[in-house]
Amino acid sequence: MDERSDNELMLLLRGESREALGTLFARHHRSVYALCYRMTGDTAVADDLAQESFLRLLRYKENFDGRSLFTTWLYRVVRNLCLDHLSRRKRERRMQERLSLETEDGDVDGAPDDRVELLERALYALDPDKREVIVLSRFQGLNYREIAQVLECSVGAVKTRAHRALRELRATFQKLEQEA
Amino acid sequence: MNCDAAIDLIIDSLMDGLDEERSRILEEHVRSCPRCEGERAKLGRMWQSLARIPLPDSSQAGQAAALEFGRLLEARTHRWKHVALLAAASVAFLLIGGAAGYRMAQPGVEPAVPGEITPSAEFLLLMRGELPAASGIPTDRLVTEYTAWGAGLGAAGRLVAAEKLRDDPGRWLQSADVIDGTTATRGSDIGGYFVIRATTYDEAQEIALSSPHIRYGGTIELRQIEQFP
Repeated sequence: MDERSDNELMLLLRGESREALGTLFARHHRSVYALCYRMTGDTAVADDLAQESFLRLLRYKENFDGRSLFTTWLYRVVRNLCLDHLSRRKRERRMQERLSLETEDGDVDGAPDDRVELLERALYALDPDKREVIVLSRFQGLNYREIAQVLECSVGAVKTRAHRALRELRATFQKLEQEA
Repeated sequence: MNCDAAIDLIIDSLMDGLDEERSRILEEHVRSCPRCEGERAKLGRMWQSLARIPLPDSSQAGQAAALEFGRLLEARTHRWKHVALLAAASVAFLLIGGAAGYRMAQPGVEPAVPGEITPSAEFLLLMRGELPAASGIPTDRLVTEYTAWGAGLGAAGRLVAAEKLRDDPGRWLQSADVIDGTTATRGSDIGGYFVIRATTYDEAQEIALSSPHIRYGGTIELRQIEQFP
């Protein structure tokens, strides 16, 4: 395994090293894919967004100043891509609604058979700005300070969002459980 | 402290951890408030369950993702090269006339350097032999290391193909005779293969030497793939 740190590899990448890009890709592709999936809930979309994330990493490599953790910077790139995708999808849905083309969601009438499945539904029912705080914390293992770096906001703002997000998740989950 | 603030602290404890002082305040409140105690248990269980939400496998795990990325990267790089070439061509056209611009817009053909292989040369790496240095290392870890190595090559635009061969004896075919690998006088010891891109034999060798296969004591047969005009 390549022992060089992510920051060292980013420096090499700024010197146009494709090998450095390869190593960063091998090292982080899975967690980037996971983040994309947790944000979008769609494997095919997550695949595309994960690929696009690394192309952006290459395009914006000069913006990485090495002061923050590489993963924090990378997750910021990924998160922006995911939010772009979600807002595009929302616009498209609204347009479909207007054209009355929307078909019934396949999973709406599927009876939930366990708590985890209900919880997953509750998670994807959250607005993306609430979901991302939970995803970054629970699935990517980031603390408030690191999340604040990814979201480019204050720790206080992250806290407020986290409190609202988890309360809403809890309420939605409870509602789904009662319905089940 | 009221219950609302207590719930905030419970959430902080799950998502960020609490320092001693805030932890003490929360404990004090929870001891005297059964509602918040129940809420803490429920939020805690929910937080645990979140980790059990499955992550479906990417359809492009490991090397497949890297191969796809390599292709994407190449496509974009070529597009940019093309744009740059056209821009250069049009500037040249304006500066020194049409003929020069036309020449620059032609796909660049590098002059041949004696002894150097064209950048598009492809090499086959046959991963052979046992891995004496890998004894005791879990298979999962080995698979991850080979995949990461291949993924690195893919993202670097170096990987053309890679497959692991099944651990069976295979069949040896000659004329109409088919010999089961187990009875063949020379059994195959090929575990898998990679096809890579490199500029020279030396560069391909350098790449091959960086593989986990070499590190674990295996042998690689390196061959350049013939390219017919």
